[in-house]
Amino acid sequence: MSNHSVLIIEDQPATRERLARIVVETPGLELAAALDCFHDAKAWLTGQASPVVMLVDLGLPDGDGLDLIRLSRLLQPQPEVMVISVFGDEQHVLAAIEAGATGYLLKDSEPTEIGTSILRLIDGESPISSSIARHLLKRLQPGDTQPQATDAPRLTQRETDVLQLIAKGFSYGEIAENLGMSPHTVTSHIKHIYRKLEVRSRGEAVFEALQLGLLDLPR
Amino acid sequence: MSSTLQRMTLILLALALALALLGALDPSPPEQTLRLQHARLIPAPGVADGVAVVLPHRWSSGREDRAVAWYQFHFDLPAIPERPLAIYLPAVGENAALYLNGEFIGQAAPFGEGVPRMHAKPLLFPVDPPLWQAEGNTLFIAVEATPWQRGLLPTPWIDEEFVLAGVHRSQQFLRQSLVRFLGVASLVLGLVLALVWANRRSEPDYGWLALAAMTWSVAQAQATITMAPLPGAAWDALTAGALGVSAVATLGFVLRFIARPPRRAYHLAWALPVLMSLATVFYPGSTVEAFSWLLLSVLLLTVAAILAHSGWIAALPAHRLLLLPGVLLGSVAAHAFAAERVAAGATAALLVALPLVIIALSWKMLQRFIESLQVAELLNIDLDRLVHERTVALETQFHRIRALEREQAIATERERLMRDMHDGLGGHLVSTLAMLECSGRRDDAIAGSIRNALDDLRLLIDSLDPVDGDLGAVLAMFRDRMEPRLQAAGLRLEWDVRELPELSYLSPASVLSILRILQECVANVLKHAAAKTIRISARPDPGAEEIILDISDDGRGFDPAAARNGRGLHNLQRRANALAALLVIESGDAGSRMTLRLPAVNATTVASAATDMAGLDGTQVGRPEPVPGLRQ
Repeated sequence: MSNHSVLIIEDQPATRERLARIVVETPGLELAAALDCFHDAKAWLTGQASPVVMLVDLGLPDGDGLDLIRLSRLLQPQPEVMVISVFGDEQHVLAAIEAGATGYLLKDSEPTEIGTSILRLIDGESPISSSIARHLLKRLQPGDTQPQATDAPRLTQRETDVLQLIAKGFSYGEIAENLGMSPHTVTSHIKHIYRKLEVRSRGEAVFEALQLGLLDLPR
Repeated sequence: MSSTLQRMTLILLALALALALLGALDPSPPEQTLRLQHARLIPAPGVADGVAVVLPHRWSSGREDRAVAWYQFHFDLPAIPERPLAIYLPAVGENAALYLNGEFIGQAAPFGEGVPRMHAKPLLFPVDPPLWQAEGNTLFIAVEATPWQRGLLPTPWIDEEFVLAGVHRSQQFLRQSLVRFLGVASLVLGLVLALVWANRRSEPDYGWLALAAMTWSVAQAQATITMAPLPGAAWDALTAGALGVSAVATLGFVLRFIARPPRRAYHLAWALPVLMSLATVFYPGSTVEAFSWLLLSVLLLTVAAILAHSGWIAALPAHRLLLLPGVLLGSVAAHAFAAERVAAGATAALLVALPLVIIALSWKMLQRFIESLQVAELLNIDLDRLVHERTVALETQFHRIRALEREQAIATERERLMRDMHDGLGGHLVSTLAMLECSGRRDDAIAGSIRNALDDLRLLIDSLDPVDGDLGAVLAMFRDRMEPRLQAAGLRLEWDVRELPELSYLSPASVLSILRILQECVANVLKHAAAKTIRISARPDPGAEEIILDISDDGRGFDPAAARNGRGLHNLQRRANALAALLVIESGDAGSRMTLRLPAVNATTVASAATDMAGLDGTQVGRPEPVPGLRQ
């Protein structure tokens, strides 16, 4: 079994090097490239075979990391995207998820934690925090007054349950026990939820474009 | 069908009342009573010539200053009476003096200046038995009339005194006391209605009725006041005019109140009082006067017809009661009309029936007024309530907008801070940490210090996350932050957070205080306790309206007395005070426990005030510093 290639895009040299070292040192992962700017990353993504995982810092000196995430979603095969964040705050993370990311990394996490997180993401498990869950509930729950496309995906009851428990601070294990499912199922729920947010935000973008007359749908 | 029955019952009741009234006012004499129906009208006592007249006898006084008519009676008695007899006159126009067998036996009022008004006063003259003879009694009655009025002598009755005294008493009551009472009542009601009308000019109904009531109370004085307060002619003109005005005003009111606003033809009715005044003074006993009374009767019949008709067609049982005054007034007026005022009882009945109608209507109007007051009061209460509700709603809205603005401001500030720290302070800290790691020097002290700085930054940023009063969300954020550290240290976390009530006072400042307290406690456990398990629980204590936040471990504990002097505990205490919360720290061989009792309600002002004060100079505000309980 070949190693999963990981592309790192981070402008701070020390952090970039640290992440690169962690990837190299983690069994099962290999470093595709460690880039420091938007320009290089875009060139790399369009020129080379797509990586399995892409780690992106949003605040790049010459561009927006979100655009790189959106670009990656057009690649075949699609890489899994993790946003690299200092605080793991919901504003950064949700913006990245809306662009197409399915996970986030705290820059200062312990090396083993970072390695495990990446491997788990490849395995279909997305990390989440209580405040992200809380804000996701706010955005995705029915009763939202914001304009939205009629076919906007909604949360299933199970997904809502999972999010509510996470927002209350319960761990995956506790939630799995509480809801009678495996911890793995809990985390894969989260990935689905992330995808729904992405689809929905795309839908909203289309909806807004239609509203503004920027787009015409074939009739 | 029952409504028709009800109507018929009311009509019968009114008719019975009218009959009773008429009958009571015009009583028949007892069987044995001697009635002197024949007399001789003579120029003066002792003068032989004269004319025979049948009583009751009316005559016009002409235009002389005063006119006195002498009547002479001759009669026999069945026997010499053993008990006192009396002579009774139902009415006299206007004054009378009696002489029996040459002796003066009494007079209605002294003859002298001015003519007293006795036409509505029943007169009783008791005569001692010695004056009577079995045969050949001679009675002279001198009747004095006003110069412009008709003189009247009704049939005198002669019977035992106690029999006639009863008749006299009841007549006195009906024609004087009752009428006077009704006069006062309608004057008072009229004044009240006039006051109401003065303040409610837009509702002329009150004015019409006030006029009717007050003028009637003037009109009745004709019957109840003996000595006129004005020159005789003026007094008669006034009272007759007042009666006319009262009737016309009653018609006006009834038209307005029940039917429709009066038409122009109605104003012609105002000619009636004028006609009545003039006819009374200038054409007494003439067809003009008779005509004016006919008109009055017609007018009152109209009033009665309108009342009775509206009572008949009314759907509401309460309104059908109008049948009662309508039929009563109608029958009495019809009787007066038929009798052409001949029967003394008819006018008296009119005098009683009309005020009864006026008083009944006045009462109705006052009720309406009071009802409208009550309605206004209710509306006012309603309005007050509405205004209050709106005010509360506005306040709520205002507070919500304020809260939203504040949230927005916090969110904006947080975003700015985060952007700044992401690239600045936070980025530098992370880089430093990475560099330290890359350099290969495992300096845990420096790394730990940097991590602490990062943790502090994260707590600060977390505290700015709007949690909508959800303490559970605050605790969850704390867990997210601390869990990796606990796992790295091999500490097991027991998480027991129940459903918690909303804490409306949770501001970024108070959230930060709570996070810092938790952080301090967990840091202490990590640093000193050598524990295997740390337990974090939060549960509401409804009895005390508090939330109990509890962090305990199974480590080796510490000496609270020694620790109290340290900076850490002092900081904890200060933050708890800022939250108006009670902090208790216990420690023993089996571990330590920190309990924070957060107020669940109404602590907003206390908490924020305390936060401000504590932020300024560290003064302890809120609860007194608790003595940490020791579990040695």
